[in-house]
Amino acid sequence: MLNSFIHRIITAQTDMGSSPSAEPFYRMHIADSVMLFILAISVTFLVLVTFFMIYFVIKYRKERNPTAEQIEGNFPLEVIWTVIPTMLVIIMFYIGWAGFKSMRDAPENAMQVKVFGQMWTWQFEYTNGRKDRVLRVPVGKPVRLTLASRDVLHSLYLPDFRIKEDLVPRMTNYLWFAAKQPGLYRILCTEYCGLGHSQMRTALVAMTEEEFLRWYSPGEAGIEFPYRGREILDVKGCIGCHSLDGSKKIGPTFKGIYDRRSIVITSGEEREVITDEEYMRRSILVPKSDIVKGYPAVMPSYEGLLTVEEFKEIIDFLKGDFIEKPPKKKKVKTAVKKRTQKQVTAFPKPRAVKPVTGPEQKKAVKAVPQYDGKRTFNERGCQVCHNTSNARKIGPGLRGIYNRKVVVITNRKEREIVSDEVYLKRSILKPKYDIVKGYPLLMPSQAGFISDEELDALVEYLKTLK
Amino acid sequence: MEAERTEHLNQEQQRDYTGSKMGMWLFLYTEFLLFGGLFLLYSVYRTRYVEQFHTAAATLDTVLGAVNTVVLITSSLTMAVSVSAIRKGDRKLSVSALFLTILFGCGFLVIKFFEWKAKIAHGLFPGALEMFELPQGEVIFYSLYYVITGMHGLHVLVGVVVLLGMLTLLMRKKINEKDFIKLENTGLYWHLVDIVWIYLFPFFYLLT
Amino acid sequence: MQTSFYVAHGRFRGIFSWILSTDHKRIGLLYLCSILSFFIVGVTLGLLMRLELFAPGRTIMDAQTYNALFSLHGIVMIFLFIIPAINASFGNFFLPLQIGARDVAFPRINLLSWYFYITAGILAISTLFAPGGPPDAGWTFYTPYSIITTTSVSLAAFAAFVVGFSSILTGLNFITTIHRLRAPGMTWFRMPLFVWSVYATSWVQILATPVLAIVMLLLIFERMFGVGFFDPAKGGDPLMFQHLFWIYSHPAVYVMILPAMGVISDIIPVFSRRTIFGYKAIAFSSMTIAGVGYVVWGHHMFASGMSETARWLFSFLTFIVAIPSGIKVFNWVATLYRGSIILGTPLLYSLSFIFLFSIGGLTGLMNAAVATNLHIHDTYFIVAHFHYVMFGGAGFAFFAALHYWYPKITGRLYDETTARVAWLIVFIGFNVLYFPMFILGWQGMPRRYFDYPLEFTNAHMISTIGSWILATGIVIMFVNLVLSAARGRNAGNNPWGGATLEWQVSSPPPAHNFEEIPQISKGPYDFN
Repeated sequence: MLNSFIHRIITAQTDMGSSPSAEPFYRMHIADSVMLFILAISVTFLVLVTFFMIYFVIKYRKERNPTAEQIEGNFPLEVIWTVIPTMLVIIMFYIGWAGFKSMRDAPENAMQVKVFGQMWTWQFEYTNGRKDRVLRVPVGKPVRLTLASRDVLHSLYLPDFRIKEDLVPRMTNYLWFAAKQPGLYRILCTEYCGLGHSQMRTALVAMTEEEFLRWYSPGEAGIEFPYRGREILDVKGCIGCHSLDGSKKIGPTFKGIYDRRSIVITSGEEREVITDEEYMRRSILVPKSDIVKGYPAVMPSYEGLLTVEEFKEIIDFLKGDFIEKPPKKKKVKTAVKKRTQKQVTAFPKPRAVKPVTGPEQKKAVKAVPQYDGKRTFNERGCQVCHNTSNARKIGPGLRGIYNRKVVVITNRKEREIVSDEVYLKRSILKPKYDIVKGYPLLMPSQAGFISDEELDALVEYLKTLK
Repeated sequence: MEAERTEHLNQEQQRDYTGSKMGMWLFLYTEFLLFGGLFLLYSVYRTRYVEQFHTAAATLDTVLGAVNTVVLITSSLTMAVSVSAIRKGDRKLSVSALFLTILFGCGFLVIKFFEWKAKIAHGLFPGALEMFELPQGEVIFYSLYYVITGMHGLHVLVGVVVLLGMLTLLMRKKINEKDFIKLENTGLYWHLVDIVWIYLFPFFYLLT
Repeated sequence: MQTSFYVAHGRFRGIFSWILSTDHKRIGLLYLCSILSFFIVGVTLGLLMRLELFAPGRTIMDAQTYNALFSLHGIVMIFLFIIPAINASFGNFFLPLQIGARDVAFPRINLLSWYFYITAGILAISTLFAPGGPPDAGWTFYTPYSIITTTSVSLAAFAAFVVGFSSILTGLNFITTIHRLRAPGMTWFRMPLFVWSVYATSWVQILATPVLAIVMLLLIFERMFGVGFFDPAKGGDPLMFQHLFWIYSHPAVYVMILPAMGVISDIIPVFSRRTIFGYKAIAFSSMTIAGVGYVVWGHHMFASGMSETARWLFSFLTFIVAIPSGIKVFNWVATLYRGSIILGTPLLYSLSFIFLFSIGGLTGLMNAAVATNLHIHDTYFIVAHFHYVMFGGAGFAFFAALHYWYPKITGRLYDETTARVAWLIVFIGFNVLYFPMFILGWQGMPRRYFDYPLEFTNAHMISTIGSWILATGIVIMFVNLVLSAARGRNAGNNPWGGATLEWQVSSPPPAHNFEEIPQISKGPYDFN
C-alpha cells in the first residue's frame, strides 16, 4: 500500500505546489535577490534601448527628416558604453558568485542523506539505514544530500529552494538546504534520462522534528506516517482550493466538513444535504453534480486519480476533524515515544552506535529482517523495469526466472543458457555481459551499490517467484 | 603587398598559389584540433589511471612501433624530395620519390595491421569478453590505443590514396614545375600525419 | 544588361546545372532551398511538441515519440537550419559580391560542402524511419544515456559528424576568400560589416567544429564497440563528454548569431540612409565575441558537479562576453540617430531582432550568475532564453536578410503590405509562444518533460496558442515571397539604395558578377 501511495506521488499529475506559507525556506532569498538585482539592470537596459529605438524611428523618419546626417561614431560614447556595462557585469558576477558560495557551504551539523537516482525513481537513504522514496526531513535542520546515480545522468531539483545538482554515475555531488516550514515540496528530475524522465518526480516532506523522529526511529517497520490523509490532500492539490483552518478559499473549507448540513445546488435547484461519505465521494468524482451554494463550479473531477485506499485515507482524515490520527496500535505508539525521548538529544544518531540488547534486539530483528530480498527488490527499483509476473515491461518478466532457459546475446552472439544463480548474479552486477534477446541494453549495474548479503537475499527472492 | 595580393584577381583562370596554401594550412589546423581532442582525452585518463596505463603500455610492442616510426619519417623525407624535385623540373626523381613514399605508407599500414592482429588474438579489443576482467584503466588505455592509432591509420590510408592520385597527375604532367601546388599541399598533409605519429609513438609505446 | 546567373547555366543543363554548379550564387541558392526545407521540418516537429504540451498527460503522442521529437527538433534546427542559415546561404551568395570577387577561393570545395550538408540532412531525416526509431537522446547526446538507448542515436551523431565537414570546408573557404580575393582598394576597414561577421564566424567554425567531429565519432565508437571513454560503467567520465561537446557547441552559438549581427549591421545603415555608427567597434566586437566565446562553454555545466574554481571562471568569462554584444546593440541604435528612416520590412525585422536579442542576451546574464543558474538551469527559462537568442535573434535576422536581399536574388520586389502584416503576426506569435516559458521556468518547470504538473497548464496553453500564431505568420511570409517571385514588380539594381557592391550589379547578378573587377575607393556605408 505504501508502494502504491508512493507510486501515486511520483506519477501524480496533480497540483502540489501552492505552499501554504509565504516564505518557507531559509535561503530562498539569495537566488531571488540576485535575480531581482540582475532583472532590474536588465529591464533598465531593455527599456532604454527599446525607447531610443522607437523614438528615433519616429523622430527621424524620412517624412520628417529627409536628409540624414552622416555621423561616423563618437569615441567618448563608445568608451562610456563599454566601461559602464563592464563594471555592471563585474558587479553582477560578484553578486552571483557570492550568493552561490553561501548556497554551497553546508553547515557542519547538517543531517546527512544519501540520494540515489535511477531510471526513473529516487531513493533516499538515511544514516540509520532507513530508506524511502520520499525525502522526509525535520523542519529547521540543515540537510546535506550526497547525490549518486546508478545508471544515467539525473538532476535533483528542489524548485522551492532554488537549487539543483546533477547526479553523475561514479561521482558524488552534494546539495544542502533547510526547510523552515512544514509542508510538501516538489522534487523533480531535470537532467534528461529517457522514457520516464518527466515522471521522475517525488516529494520533499518537511515535518516537525517530533514527527520526523517518530518516523525516523529504527526498529519499527511498518509504522506509517500518521498524516496520510493530510499528505494526500497536499499531493493532490486539494489544499490549493480548500483551507484546513476554516477560511474561505476558492472552495469551501475542509474544517468540520464531515457530517454537517450544507446547502447545495443540484441541477439548478437548491437543496439541503448531509455531507456524509457518499456525498464526499460524489463531490470528488463528479464535482459538478452538487455545487455548494456561493461557490463557483470549477473543481475538476478526480475520477481515476485516486485509489480506493487514498480515498479512504482522505475520508478518515476529514472525519477526524484534523485531530492527530492515533497510530494503529497503542503499543507501537509508546515504543515510539520511548525511542524519541532517547534519541532526541543525539539526533541524528546513526543506528549502529545504539547498543541493542536483549529482547529489544530480538524484536528489532523480527521487525526489520536484515536482508529481505523482496525489500531489496523494491528498494533498488527493480520493479520499475521488471514485473514479478510473466508480463514484459522494459526488462523481462521474472516469474519462474530461476532455472529457466533464456536466449541471451553475449558478445554479439546468441546463445542459450540456463538462468542459474551464477547467471542471475552476473546479470545484476554486470548486466551488459549477457543481454536477453529482444530487450534493450538498459539495465544499470548494481556492482558497488549492493552488498553481498543483499545480493544473496535478492537472488533467493527471485528463486521464489513462481 | 596590396599589389601582390590583387595581382591574381584579373587573370582569366584564377590560380592563387598563396590562397591554396592558406586553405591547406587552415585544413591542417582543423586536423590538429581533431587529434587534439583525442590527446586531451588521453592526458585526462592518463592522470586518472597512472598505474594501469603503466601496466597496459608495457604490453605494446615497442620494436614494431619504433620500426613504424622510422618508416614514416623516411616517407616524409621522400615526400619532401618529391616536392622539391618537381619544383626544379626533375619529373623522374619526383615520380620515384613519390612512389617510395607510397610504398613506405603501405609498409606502415601492414606493420600496423600485424600489431593489431596480435592484440586482437589476445582478446584485447573493446567489447571483448576478456576486457570485462581487466581493471578499468587498462580497458581505457586499450580503447585509446585503438581509437587513436585507428584514426591515424585512417589518415595514412587516405594519404596513400591521395598520393596515388598525385602520382597519376604527375605522370600525366598535370603537375609540373609551374603548377605543383597540389603535390605541395599533399606533402603538407603527409607531414601532418607524420607529426601526429611522432606524438603518438612515445605516448603509447615509450611512456610506461 | 548582362545575362543573369539563372540564364547562364554553365557546362550542364537542367537540374545538373544546379547540383553540379560551382557558381557561388547557385550554391548559395541550393543552400537556401535546402535550409528552408529543413526549417519547415523543424517547425513541424516543434508544432507537434507544442500540441502535445497543450495539456498535461498524454495529448496526441506517447512519451517515446515526444522524446524523439524534441531530439530531432533540436538536431534539425541547430545543425541543419540555424548554423548554416545565414552563413552558408547568404554568405555564399553575397560574400564574393560584397568584396568584389567573381567567386569564392575554392568553388569546387564549396560545392562539396553543400553535398556534405545535404547528405547530413538526409541522414538526420532518415533516422525517422531507421530501425530502433528516431534518436531520443536530445541534440546534446549526453552520455551515458546516449550510449545505452536503443534508438538510432549513432545515425544522428553521424549526421552531425558529416555536417561538421560542411561547416569546416565553408569556413576555410570563406577565410581564404576574404584574405585573397578582395577587390583592389578593398581594405579591411572598407569591408561591409556582414563580411566581417562572416570572417569571425568562419574562424569559429574552423576552431570548434573538429572537436565536435571527434566527439560524435567517439560516441559512435562507444555505441558500436564499447570503448568506454564516456561510459562510467567502464571507467569513463560522462563529464568529459559534456566538456568536449560544449567546447564545440558553445562557439556554435556564435556561428549562429554572428552572421545575424552582420546582416543587421548592413540593413540598418541602408534604411537610415546614413553611415554606420562605430564601424570599428562593431567589427572588433565580432572578433572579440569569436575569441571570448570560445572559452565560456562551461556555463552549460554549472549544475553538473564541476569544481568551484571552474564555476567561478566560466561564470566570469560568460559575463564578459556580454559586453561586445552590448556594444553592438548600442551602435545599432545610435545608427538610427539623425538618419532618414524608411520603415521597410527588413528594418522591421532588424529592429525586432534588436529587441528580442536584447531580451535573450539579458536573460543570459541571469543564466551566467551561478546563484540564479542553479535554479533556472535545465528549466523552461533556458528554453525561452535560447529561443529568444536563436530564433528571436538569428531567426529574425534570417527573415530580415531574406527580405533585404530578395530583390537582388530574384530581381523582383515582394508585396510590402503583406510582408509587414506577416512581420506583425510573426512578432506577436513569437512572444506569445516563448515569453510564458520564462515564467514557467522560474516557477520550476523542467525542460524535456513529456508530462507536467497541473499548475503549469495555463502557461503551456498560452505558449501552444502562440505557436499557431507564429506558424500562421511564417506561412503568410513564405507565401508572399513565393508569389512575388512570379508576380512581383521589377526591382531594378538597387531598390533600397544600398552602397555595398552587391547593389552595383544587375538584379539578379550576372554569372561572373563583375565584368571588370571594381576599384574600391570608399567605405561600404558611404551614402553621399
